Order: sequence, then structure tokens, then C-alpha cells
Amino acid sequence: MLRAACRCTVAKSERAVWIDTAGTVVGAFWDEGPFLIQPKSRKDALKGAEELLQCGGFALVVLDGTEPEGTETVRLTRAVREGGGAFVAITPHPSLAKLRLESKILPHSYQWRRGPFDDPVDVQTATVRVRARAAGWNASADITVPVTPHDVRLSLEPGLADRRGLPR
Amino acid sequence: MFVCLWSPAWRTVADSLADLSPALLTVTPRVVTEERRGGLVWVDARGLDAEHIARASLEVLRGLGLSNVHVGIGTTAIVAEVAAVAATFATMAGTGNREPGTETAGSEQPSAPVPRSPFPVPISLGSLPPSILEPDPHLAALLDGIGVETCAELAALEGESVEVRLGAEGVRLWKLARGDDDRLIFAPIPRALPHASLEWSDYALTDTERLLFSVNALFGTVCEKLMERGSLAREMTLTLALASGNTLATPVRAGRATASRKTWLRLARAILERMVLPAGVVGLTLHAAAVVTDAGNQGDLFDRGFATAAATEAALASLAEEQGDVVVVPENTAHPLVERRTQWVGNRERTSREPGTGNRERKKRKRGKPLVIGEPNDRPSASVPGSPFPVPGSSDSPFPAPTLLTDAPPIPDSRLTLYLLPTPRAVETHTEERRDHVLPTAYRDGGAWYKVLSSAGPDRISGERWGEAFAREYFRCIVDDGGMVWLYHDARTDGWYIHGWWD
Repeated sequence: MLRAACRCTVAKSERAVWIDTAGTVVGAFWDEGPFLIQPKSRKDALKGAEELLQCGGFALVVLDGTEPEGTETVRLTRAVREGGGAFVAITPHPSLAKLRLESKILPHSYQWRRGPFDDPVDVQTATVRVRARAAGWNASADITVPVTPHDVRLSLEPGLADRRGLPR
Repeated sequence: MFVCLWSPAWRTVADSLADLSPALLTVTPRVVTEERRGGLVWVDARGLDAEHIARASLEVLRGLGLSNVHVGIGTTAIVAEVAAVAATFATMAGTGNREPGTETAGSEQPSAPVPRSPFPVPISLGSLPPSILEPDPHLAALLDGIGVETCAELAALEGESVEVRLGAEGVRLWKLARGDDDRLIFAPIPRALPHASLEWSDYALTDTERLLFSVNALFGTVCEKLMERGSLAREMTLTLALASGNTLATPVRAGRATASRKTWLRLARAILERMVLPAGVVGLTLHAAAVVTDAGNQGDLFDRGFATAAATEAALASLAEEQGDVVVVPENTAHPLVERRTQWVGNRERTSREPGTGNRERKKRKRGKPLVIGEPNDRPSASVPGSPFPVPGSSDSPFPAPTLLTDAPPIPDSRLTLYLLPTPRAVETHTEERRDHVLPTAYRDGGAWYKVLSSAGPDRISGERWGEAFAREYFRCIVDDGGMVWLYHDARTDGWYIHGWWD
């Protein structure tokens, strides 16, 4: 959902940046448009986020893989106020946040595409329950979203070892 | 006015031609020597009393023992040059009335207007043969063939006919015959690069913080001068004068050209904090070593990002300076393993390697239909002039630049997308047998057990005959907390791993 927000920001002629501290973004599924920053450490991620927020050139800054704490949150909040953009931190401790969003995929909401023997083959959609809270406001909604295929490449070039059905 | 000095004696002492310059510089601001015609010495008299400078130059040369010197003065270089060499030429041609060794002053000669030429050409030069202008031998023969015997006859020809009959070289010669000479004898004087210095004698500084205080003041002065002349510095040199009498010069380089004191101070601080001073510092000199022009970009009223492009560029450059190439883009291959499929490269690196980007693409789009958002592959891309760092919103940026809105942009849909752990993490699993594989029913990760509600798989991949071989059976598993994880069974080691999740 956040990645869709980034793409939407770019589509509206503004800039978005995703700070991927843990290196969890998969290159094959990264959409061109938003900036992607891969800092080497937590400290670098926080410094980078502060600088990018302060510069005022980014409408949306997403900090993933690093949880700001205490004074770090205060500094980032000041930087947001200075730059005028929006800042999203993925953290279970959303102190000082204007808007708090929680999301959870409903376990039994997955829609499978079934194979000829009625076995699950592909997940097509899933429903996400999103709860938003702000000062004096609380709302939730269920959103059904498609699932990106994982794109496993099963066919290798001829000559490579095929280990299907290895003896166990 | 141009003053040209020439002497037949220089043919034998050509090597020492450059040695005359220091002596001549005592009477004129600039001197240029040329090897043509056996050696020409040009004296810059523009805006000065040319005749006085010419006489003073001759006096100086006489003092050096060179008496056989001819001088020519002209409003254009060719007139001065021909006037200086014409005396000897006329003698050689048998038509002149001057003896070698006598002085010639072109400005004193009566001038005659050449038809439609704004340049006054002395009559005596008009009577000289075109060979005085050093034409190409082939062209000289051609001129002889069509009966052009003097410069005046050549100058009187129509420009169009000269171009048609004699070509480009003929036109050049025709222009010289008319006194039209656009050679740049004296190149523009380069402006001194901004610099500032500070010295003190009562004490010697060894404390970096106090040193930075003084450096900050110098950066303020230099950056102010840079901004006054509309320039940006790419490199500055900080020279420390030590109490021991030695100097320590340190280059300070920025990732992008800038005139921001804050940026330069940050870079200087990083250098000074690492520096071990061999002695106390008693003086500082700062000068801009590499300066580029601050070329502004054409603005776009409909470009929301243009106003903040410079700030964004500065922020990204600052990140690059501090943390290296952290702004990355993926380069994907067809490798079967997802974690080996992608190579993250610095955005600058990709920009420099990527062909077919640039203004051309943007111009092509501008000529065509209005830009519509939502077509990522069509976005214009290029690099910011004078800067190594690309930024969207600049007029020629390699990032998706803000574009003109003609229709409402399509809202991108949310999707659950795969995220990977940096390295697969081993997990403990409960499995159940199937016909040709085992299926995970629960796994333990981080001390907690997760029940698998449903799973799809196995997706078997294997390969790498020559490298590190792999054989994996991947399963997409829905667990009881609602997440969908990507587990695999390593068929070579018989271990289970969690590789990623969908979010």
C-alpha cells in the first residue's frame, strides 16, 4: 500500500523516496519512479531521512527497516515540519504521529486459483483490514488487493542439473 | 590598435623570440609571439597610445641589441602584420621604397576605403601582391591565372564570386585583402579565481574547532565571491601555514559544484577532523581550484518539482558524499534465484552507462503530444548540466521528471509484493508427507510457532553446474496470523528456510 502511495506521489509530479535499511526490497518487483535508498546502517538511514525531509523536495519519505526512537523521532518530526513533506515510519511505536495506520491481512481472505486436482496453485487476491487513527478520529476498512506473482523461474537452460525428485 | 614587430634577424635567433617578452612587458601589458613569417611579436596596444608603445618597444629592442626591427600598426591584425613585413617584402619584390632596417608605421600611411569594407586598408598594402597574405600555393596559382595581381584587385571582387570560384580558402584570403581579420591575437584574460587568506602571529592554533572557526570565515568570503560572479566551485584548496615554516595544502572536493558555505564547511570539517597537524597553524589560505559556471535551467510553470529541484539535488549530493552510492536502482538478470537476480547499482553509475537518454528524448516528447503521467517507461531522463547528480524536476533529469497534466493521472493499485530477507533464515518445521514431496504444516521462527493454513508448492529450482549449486523447493504458505511467507526446503542440505514474505 505504501509503495502504491509512492507511485501515486510520483504520478502526481512529486517526488517520493523509500529508505530500505534492511535491504528487503526485491529488485525484480521494484517499480521505477520513486527513489530507492539503501543506507548501510541505522544511523545513516536516520540521517538520510532527516536530510531528505528537511530539503523540502520530497512529498513522501518512507522509512522502512529502522525504527526511530525518542529524540530521533523528535528530530524527524521537526524535519518534516521544516520541509513540509509527509513522513511514514514503519514502526510499532508511532509516538508523535499525526496519523496511525495498522494493517493486517485476514488469514482466510486469500483467494486461490486452483489446479486440475483442486490443489492451490496461485494466490490471486487477499483482503487487508486497515485501521486509521488520528486525534478524535478512528476508522477501519477492508481492502481487497491483488497479489504480485512471485515469478519463480523453473525452466533452466539445457545442460544444467535438474534436481526434481531428489531421493530423500 | 594592434602593433606587430618583425625582423629578418629573428630568423637566425628564433629560439630567443620568447625571451623578448619579459623586456617588452615593461612597456606593454601583453605580448604574444608567433612562429609564422619567421617570427612575429604582437604587442597589445588596444585602448592605449599605439604609436607611443611602438616607439617604446623599439627602444627596448634596441637596448637588447636588435636594431633591424620593423613595426606595423593597424586597426586590424592583418594590417599591422603586413605593414611590419611589407618593407622587406617590397624590397624583395623590387617595388618598395624602404630599405631593410627602417621602421614602418602603418597608421601613418594614407588609407583608402575598399568598396563595402568597413576596414580602412592602407593604400600601400593595396598595391602589394596577394602573396603577401600567404595564400595556399594552389590558390596563388589560381589567382595568378585569373589575373589578380594586387590585394586591391582581390578586395574589389564580389564576395559571392570569390566563394564560387575560389572556395573557402579564397574567401579567407579575400577577407584579409579587405582588412577583415577576426583572429583573436590576444586571448581573454582569465579572471583570478576567488581566494581568501588569514594570518596571525601571536599564537599557533592546534585545536580543530578553533581552526574551523577561521576556515568558516574564509569559506564565507570565497563563497560570496563565487556567487557574485555566478560561479560554483567543484574543488577548493585549503593551505595551512604551519609554525614550523612549512605549508600543508589539502584539496577539498565536493560531489557537485556548489557555492554553499554550509556544504564546504561540512566537507572541510570532515577533512580537518581526520587530519593530524605536525605543528601549530599560523595562517590559512583558501582558494577555489576548480570553478564552473552556474548554468541555470529553464523553468517550467507546470513543473511542480522545478522549484525544489536544486534543494533535492543538494540533499542527494550530500547523501552521496557522506554515505556513497546509496541511491540505487535495480539491474535485473534472468537468474533463477531471486536474491541473485538483482544487482543494485548507484543511480549515477547507471545514468552514465545508460544510452539514449538526454535532452533529445525530452525534446522529442515536447514536439509530440502533451505528456501524460502514468507511463513510467516514457519518462524523460538525462543529467543535470554541471552536476554529477541527477534530480527530477531539473530540465534534463534522468529521474522521472514532473510532467504536464492533461488528464487525471491513473491511481496505481495496491498489491501484495514479495519482500526478501537479506539472507534466508533457517527455521524449524513440522511437515507431512505427500506423494513426491513434504509439505510444511507449521514452522518456528523467533521462538514462536506459526501454523500453516494453506500452502502452494513445491516450485522446484536447481542449477549452477560450475558455481555454488542449489536445489530448492519453494512453498507459498498462508500462516495463522494472516501473513503469506515464502519457505523453501534445501534439497541438498535437507534444511528449511524462510526466504521472504508478501506485504
